[in-house]
Amino acid sequence: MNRQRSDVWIIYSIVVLAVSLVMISIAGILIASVSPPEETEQLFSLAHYGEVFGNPDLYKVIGRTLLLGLGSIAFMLAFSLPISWILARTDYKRKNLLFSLLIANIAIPGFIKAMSYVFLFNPTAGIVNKLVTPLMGEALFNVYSLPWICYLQGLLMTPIAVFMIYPALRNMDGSLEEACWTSGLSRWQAVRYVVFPLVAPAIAAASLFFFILAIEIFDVVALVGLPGKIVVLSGMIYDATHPTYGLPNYGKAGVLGVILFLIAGVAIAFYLKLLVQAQRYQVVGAKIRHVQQELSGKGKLLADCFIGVWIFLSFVIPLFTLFWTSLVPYLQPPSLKALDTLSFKSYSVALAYMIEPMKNTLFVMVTSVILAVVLSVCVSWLVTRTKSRLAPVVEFIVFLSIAVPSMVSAVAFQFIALKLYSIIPLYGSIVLVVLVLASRMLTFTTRTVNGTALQLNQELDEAAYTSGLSRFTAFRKVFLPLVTPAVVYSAFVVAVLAARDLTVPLMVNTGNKELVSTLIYHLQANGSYDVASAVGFYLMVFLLVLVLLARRLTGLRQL
Amino acid sequence: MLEITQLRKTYRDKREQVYALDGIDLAVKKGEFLVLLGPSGCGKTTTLRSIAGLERPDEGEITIDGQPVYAAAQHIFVPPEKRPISMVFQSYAIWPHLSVYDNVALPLKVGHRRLVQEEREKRIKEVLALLGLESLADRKVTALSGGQQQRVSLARAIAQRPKVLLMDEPLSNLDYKLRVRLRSELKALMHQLELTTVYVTHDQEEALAMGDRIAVMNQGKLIQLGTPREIYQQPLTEFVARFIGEMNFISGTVRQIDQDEVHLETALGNLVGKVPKDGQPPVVGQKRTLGIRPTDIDMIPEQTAEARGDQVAGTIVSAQYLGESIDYTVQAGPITLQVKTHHRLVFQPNDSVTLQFDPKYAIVIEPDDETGWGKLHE
Repeated sequence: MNRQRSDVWIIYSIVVLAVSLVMISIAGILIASVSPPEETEQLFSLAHYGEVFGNPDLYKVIGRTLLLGLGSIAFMLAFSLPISWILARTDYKRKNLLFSLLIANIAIPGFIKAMSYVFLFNPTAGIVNKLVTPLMGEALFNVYSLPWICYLQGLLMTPIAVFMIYPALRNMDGSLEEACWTSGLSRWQAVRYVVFPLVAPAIAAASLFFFILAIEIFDVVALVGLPGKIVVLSGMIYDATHPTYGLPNYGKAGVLGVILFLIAGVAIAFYLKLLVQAQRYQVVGAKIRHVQQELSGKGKLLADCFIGVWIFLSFVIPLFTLFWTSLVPYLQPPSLKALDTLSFKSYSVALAYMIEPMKNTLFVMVTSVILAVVLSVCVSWLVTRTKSRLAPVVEFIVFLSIAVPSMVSAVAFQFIALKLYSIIPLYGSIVLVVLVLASRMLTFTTRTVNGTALQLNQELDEAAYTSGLSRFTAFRKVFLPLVTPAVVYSAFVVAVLAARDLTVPLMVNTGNKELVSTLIYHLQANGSYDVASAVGFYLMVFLLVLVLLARRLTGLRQL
Repeated sequence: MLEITQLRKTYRDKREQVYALDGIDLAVKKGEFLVLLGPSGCGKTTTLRSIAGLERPDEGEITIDGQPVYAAAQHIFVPPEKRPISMVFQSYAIWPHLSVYDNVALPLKVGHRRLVQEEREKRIKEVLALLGLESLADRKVTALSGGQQQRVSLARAIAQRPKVLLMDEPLSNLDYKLRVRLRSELKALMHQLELTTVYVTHDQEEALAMGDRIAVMNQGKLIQLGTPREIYQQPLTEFVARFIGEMNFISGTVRQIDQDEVHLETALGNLVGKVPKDGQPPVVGQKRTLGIRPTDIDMIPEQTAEARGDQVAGTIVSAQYLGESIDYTVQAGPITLQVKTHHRLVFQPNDSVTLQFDPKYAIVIEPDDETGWGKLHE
């Protein structure tokens, strides 16, 4: 009995670890921001606040960052709303294909999409610009601008956004719409007076979620914003921690991180409010009737066209561009002359370059999956299966982590690691990438496991206890097997997101250890476009296998 | 008021054409309360949704007050918002973002049934008062109880003054006691308003209590249409008899026909019953089934019984005490019968009894095997 009792503490200690990961992110950034400048005796100082807020450009940067968030959402909605609508509320024939494409699109990392657009539309060497300059006299497109960043971020968020918005549209009880029709309201009036007001909170909530994502991800900003000198908060934080010369300034990065954290915090507060509102509209216990609108001939054509455009922008452009650039030694439009230089050499070079980074990427994937899953299963058990008074506190803290941008936790973890270097030499190690990624995913994985765990009847545990099982045994033999589908699902999502992430590995100083994503970034930054493209292809094939495997094993539960 | 002619709708089930509606003919009189009754999947909801215009049938005609709203031959399909109907949904489908008042008001404000402000306000006030919702007018509908939500849904439908009111199992989400109370309230209200109503339910008790007439459906077909008394006492098929209450069936061969009395030769000897109204008249020599409700068999202790022709000897197998009554399972020859008696009539298992069949309440119908209507339901 005594031994069994002590076993439960394993779970509790893992929960403590989860909570401390989130707390380190938040506390770390705050401490970093008030850390004294070098060579002073003070315990803390506001010098970095003075430095950051003394910069007259700061307010412009904040404004631009907000604009970046809003613009990205606008593009994201422009793509994902119609697609979600087609999937959820019409009888569109090619839904399965569309669904497969959305999943496959996740295998094309955002920074690779961005890279292909840079290859095409950068003002000096872009392939399209090279084609049109002789005709127009000047470069027609300049990818290095805020609208392009917004567009690219919107494009990269689209598949994930569809998976978030689709359920809201689908779960709106169709009889509410039918009740409009049988009450004499026309189709359009039904949408205006009933459907739109009902789904708006859910869509707004999703938008806020992606707003935070839009201001925190660095993938596109790194490729388009940095060379284009378009300064947003994430870029400033990167610059502060990656100066061309001198030491990383974690104090300044900390202050900027606090600002980013506050913006995200405000967004999360609104997000929560909207979620509550969205849930309030759900009439409890009512059966949901799925209504699918018949598409007319015109409607079908319109849907096909829209999806065709999306396929062109998010598949055809990146894949063809990368394929072409991987075959030619420098950026050039297709021409007879270029055909002479075609070669697959870059693919063998890429393989040689990739061996070490691939090992590192695999290490990061596997360890962050294990960490995120173990932590979230334990947190989920505590939150859903026990009546512990700490449970709501733990749930809140873990939830709070979605308000901590990965830029911020990257700074926080590095700062803490630097301070504790003499005790635990983690600074400069790839393990930090894992910690940041895992704590970033914690909200998602915990919510996914919670979703399944909450559906398990409390009596299942009680049956285990009254059958003489200890709490820890019940955890292992009853809880774990039952939440396994959710665990597998979240493991795959974490694996895919970890493998395609550029933000965190770029932010965290890992010495000379590269991941595949940073390898691609550095190759293109150094002008090895062909090899960068070839590595990109290998990464996409790898991700595609992972995504297809995930779909087969989990049936992608969320749809 | 409402006429349905030869309504058909098919759907594909794994490459097989299945009839959801298989030639439904139905006429509902002005002010009548018609109940569509049947097991799930029988087509009753599809019929209702076709009347509403929420479902498009493949063949047939629907007219409301003389105006065709659906006619396959003429390619007429009037969309739901332009039909003179309103509907109460099973899930109530009250709009959760609006108040009680606004739920009733929205259809009268926008859309095809809008009224000028003065008239609208008067109408809403009337209806809210009628349903006892005045004090809740400003409440959010999501804060209401199930019964109150049901009233809002009804208020919204009534306020539109439809020519035909359609109701899709409106009471099925409520608890039993409330359901029973609302049954009589609802029926009284519809008669008071002289509303023509089509009401779908799978609850036979509800159908008997509420319907002026009941249309029993199964597998896309209309099996029997009649008053509750007709449906209960003179079911046309085994399916109807079983779906509404319980019945013992004894198969036999027709031996003799005396006007409306049919003599069957059965395993229990010669038994007499009547052909139900609208039933197929039998011919001597045909196979027929005798049906009798468990309440219509009289059971007497063996020794006190006088010897009579329509009596059958039996043995009590088991008894189930239900408070008001007792359900006995009785073995009579090769046949097991259900007999329901008053709770004061007590027998013990293995008691020998005499069963007496009342020919007035015994019916003679075609076995379901011949019509095929009841088979799948079993």
